[in-house]
Amino acid sequence: MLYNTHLCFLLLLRKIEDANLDIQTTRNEDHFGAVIHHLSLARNKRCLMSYMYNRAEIIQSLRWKIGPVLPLEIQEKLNYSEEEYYKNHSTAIEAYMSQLDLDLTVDMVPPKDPYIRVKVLDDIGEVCLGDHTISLTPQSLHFIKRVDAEPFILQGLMEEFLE
Amino acid sequence: MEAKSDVDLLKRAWRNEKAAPEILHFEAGLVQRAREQIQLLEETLDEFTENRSDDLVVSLYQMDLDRALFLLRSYLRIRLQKIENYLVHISKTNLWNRLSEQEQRFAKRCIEIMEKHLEQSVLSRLPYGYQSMLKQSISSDEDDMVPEPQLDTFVFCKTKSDVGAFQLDDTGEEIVDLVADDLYVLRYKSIRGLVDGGRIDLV
Repeated sequence: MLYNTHLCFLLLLRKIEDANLDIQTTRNEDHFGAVIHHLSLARNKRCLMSYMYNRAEIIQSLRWKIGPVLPLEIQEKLNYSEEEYYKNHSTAIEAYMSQLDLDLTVDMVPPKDPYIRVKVLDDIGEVCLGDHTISLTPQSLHFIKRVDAEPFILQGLMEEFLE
Repeated sequence: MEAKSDVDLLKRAWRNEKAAPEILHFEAGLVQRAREQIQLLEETLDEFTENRSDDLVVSLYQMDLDRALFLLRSYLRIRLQKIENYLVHISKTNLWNRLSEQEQRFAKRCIEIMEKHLEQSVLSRLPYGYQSMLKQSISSDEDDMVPEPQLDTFVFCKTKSDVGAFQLDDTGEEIVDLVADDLYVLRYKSIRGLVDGGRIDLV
């Protein structure tokens, strides 16, 4: 039923277009109705699309800011399709990075010093960095390579220690 | 001044890419060379650490390496983000040829993913005739739902050599004399050709 009405509407639109009628001069209720219906449909579509598209843009920027796994509080806000989108988009970025054999998610700010001072916020445990292992216990301060620290900082397990 | 190292060239490519609203040509040769040099630097660094060289020298080399790596990563990252933002626009125009092979693969995948996402959350529920991702409805003649970069924005740019009298708009009413090594603020759209030809640098 609904499908039929929609079909009638499309036929009507086509008729207006074909006859090249000017809506201002040909005063016909059906035509007015059809045009208004068409415009509101298009408008609703634009709103829906830009809403979803803007959300998708935010979601894809999260991959650069947070990492491949989203924290629960963000995940709760996404719908099923968006979660899937995030995962697929992450894999696309990862595929690109593995083709180049270069991790693009580190080094987000221009480097000043190869080493930075960090404060450990969460219990990370023993971590192997380069040729030595260090134990990262909460509240301890370390002087380590920036590239090594960045993933931890992104996950919120560490923060840069500024005097 | 002309004999520039690859790192300098990379810095220029990075700056241009960062300032330009649309995606520029992928610097394939340059990226390749930069990667080789980075690898070489890494090897030298490993040698240094093995031989227990002076810490200061090691850290200077490390800094150099870090900077080069940052430039390279940031360059590739900016490009990916532009691709993400103007996916459909890039794939429909000749901008597509500006991407590297890997970037094209990435873009194709992204389009598929985005299409699927919009399809299942919005488009599939709209009535027939309104289900296209590119057009508002079948009665639109052109793709009128594709986000495009703003080419009208102003950019800061620096001329490399004398360009001479340069026409800023189609009508020829606005003409500036572009002198070598001078700074200008112009609409990106009008100097697009110069950027493409490498005659002007964005800053």
